[in-house]
Amino acid sequence: MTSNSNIILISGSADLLVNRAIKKTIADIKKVNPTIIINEIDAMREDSYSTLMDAISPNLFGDASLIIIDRINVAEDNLDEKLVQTLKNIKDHISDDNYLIVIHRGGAGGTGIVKALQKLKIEEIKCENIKFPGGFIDFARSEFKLRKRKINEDASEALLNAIGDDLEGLASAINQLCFDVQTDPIDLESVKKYYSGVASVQGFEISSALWNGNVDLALDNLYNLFENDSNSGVYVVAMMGNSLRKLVKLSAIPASTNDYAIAQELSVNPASIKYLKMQLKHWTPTSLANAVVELAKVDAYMRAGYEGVSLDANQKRFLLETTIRKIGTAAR
Amino acid sequence: MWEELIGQEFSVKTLVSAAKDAKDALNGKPTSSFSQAWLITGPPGSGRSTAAKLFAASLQCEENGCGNCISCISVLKNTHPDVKVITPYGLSYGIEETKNLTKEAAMMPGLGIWNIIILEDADRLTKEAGNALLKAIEEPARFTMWILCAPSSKDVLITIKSRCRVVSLRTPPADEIAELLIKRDGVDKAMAHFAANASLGHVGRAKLLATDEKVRERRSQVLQVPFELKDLPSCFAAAEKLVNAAIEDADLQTDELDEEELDSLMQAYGEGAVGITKRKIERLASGAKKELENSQKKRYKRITRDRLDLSLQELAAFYRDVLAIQTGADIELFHTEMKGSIQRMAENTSINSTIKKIDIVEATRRMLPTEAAELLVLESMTVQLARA
Repeated sequence: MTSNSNIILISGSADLLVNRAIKKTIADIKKVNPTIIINEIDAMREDSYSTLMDAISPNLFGDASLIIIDRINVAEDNLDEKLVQTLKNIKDHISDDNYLIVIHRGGAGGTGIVKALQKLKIEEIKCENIKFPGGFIDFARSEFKLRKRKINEDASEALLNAIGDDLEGLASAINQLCFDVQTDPIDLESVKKYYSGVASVQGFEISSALWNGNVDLALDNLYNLFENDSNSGVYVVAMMGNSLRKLVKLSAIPASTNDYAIAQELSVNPASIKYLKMQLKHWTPTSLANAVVELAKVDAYMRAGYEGVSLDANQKRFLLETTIRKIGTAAR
Repeated sequence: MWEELIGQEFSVKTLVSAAKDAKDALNGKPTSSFSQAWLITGPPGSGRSTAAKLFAASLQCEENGCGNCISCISVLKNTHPDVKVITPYGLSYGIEETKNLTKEAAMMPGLGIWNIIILEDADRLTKEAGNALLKAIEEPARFTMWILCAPSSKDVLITIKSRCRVVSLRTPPADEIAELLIKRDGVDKAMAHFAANASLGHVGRAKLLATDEKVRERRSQVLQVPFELKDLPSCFAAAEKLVNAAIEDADLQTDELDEEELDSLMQAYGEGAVGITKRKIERLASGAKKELENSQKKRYKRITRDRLDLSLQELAAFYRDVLAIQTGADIELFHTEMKGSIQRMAENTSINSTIKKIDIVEATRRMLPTEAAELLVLESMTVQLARA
């Protein structure tokens, strides 16, 4: 009977933490057995089952081997059933210098395998998910500590705000900051210099920047949005159109009307009326009229392509950029 | 039975002799006009579907279209088993549906002489769907007859067009539409003439205008739009009005139909039957239900677009009326009842601006068949109209 600690299950839904756990486990194994051969199997691939069979069959030179089966939560069907069966066999036959790491990256899939593994009383490493924002603060603190660096409270807060709900992004940002910034502790200024709120830009932010008359910000936002999601052209145009419609309606309402009545008329939140009124100051009826014609044009491009030829993300962004500039130059 | 197809004497002659030739061809006699694929073109409302159906009846009838035999009557009532009418409901007609169609086209007729497939709106075939049909149209089974319909032969894939004989219908003259309304639907003379003119040559629309108060009302609302475009907010309001009218129309047309279809679907899965639980029916029917809802959504979208297009045609016709007066052309106006206000607009605007306006409306019409956002497109149109 061999030791079950030769089979290791790593589970968790945060990729970053799982990847770190894998790295650490492999490093630990390599300390004991530096020449071990590593076989990585992606359970999602169609040939994963046969790869596994190859990997576990005896090796001509009798070298020790480490088999990593990744993504069993989305395992290919064939593999799913056979894996449980195979694991049982492996458990009885695995020799001391061979290792098997099974990785489950969260979700409901592949629980059959996980349960079967747990029954075998193998070693399990659970990566608890980190909750936003509380857990992220602790995570950031420990990251800085790991690198023997300090960060000011306000700077850490600004960093979290800028990166948002993205653990990997946060980790790499911290890594980069520690490398770029020489002063210790890291202060607010340096964080602001590198990270000024680029994360999770929405179509709404492009639209509101544009109607605020801030073309540069609108274009910045557009650029960042397309970095994350290059299919949002139609959505961005729809947002701009919606806001434009509200501005036009607002322009028709007598200035003496109170905000609540206006809010009802435009079916928006009363608190946003002040904001809309501010936006309206940037525009004349003519500039708004030009804007709607431009928007309709670019909407057609986003949906049906340019003269029958469909567009890629860069072309779409270019057309949106041109439209925003054209509309924006008329802002007061 | 051909009298329902008005103003198309020439095309009727072609189709009647084609039906005769088809029979001769089956009997091995030499013919001059035999073809197993026909493309009937003509502007909306000119009677493409009617022509297709009458042609199908003539093909199936021993007497080449007597209008009285069982075969003729069942074709005209859409119950003939060997005449399949395919109506693409969505904005386009995809490859999956087409593949089923090619299977149908390989069948032998059960009762009639021909296995006839009528494909209405062949212009809505996607490129892939059209290509999937090519073979079936070029080398049809011995007893298969294709009848495609489209607004113009330019709208159909060129490879399909080249495999068909084309019969073109023209816009029926207003007088003949009026006459049909009086004879067939018992509409009084004044109303019939008004409706025939206002329908822009669309026979079905003429009947609706003559018989439905609501349709007339909506039309006159659309025709108010040129007078409402004073400033930016009023342009936006007018655009919204046009879109809402189209949506209301589509709602009216589809709500009842949607429910009926859903009911009959659920019945087919055993709703109301003994010995099956509601839960089980829901589970069994869920896939089919989703599919039905999908096609209903497509149909809804298409009807909305069609209504909008109709409104735009009426607007274009309005500006054409203005142009007619400005240039002193001696033709009857489409919107005769508005002659006074059309006259005033003609005096207060220039010919140039009227031509520009017609261009704007037509450009907007061309944008509708894409997935473009309706409201935005129409807002852009009203704003440009106000400026022209």
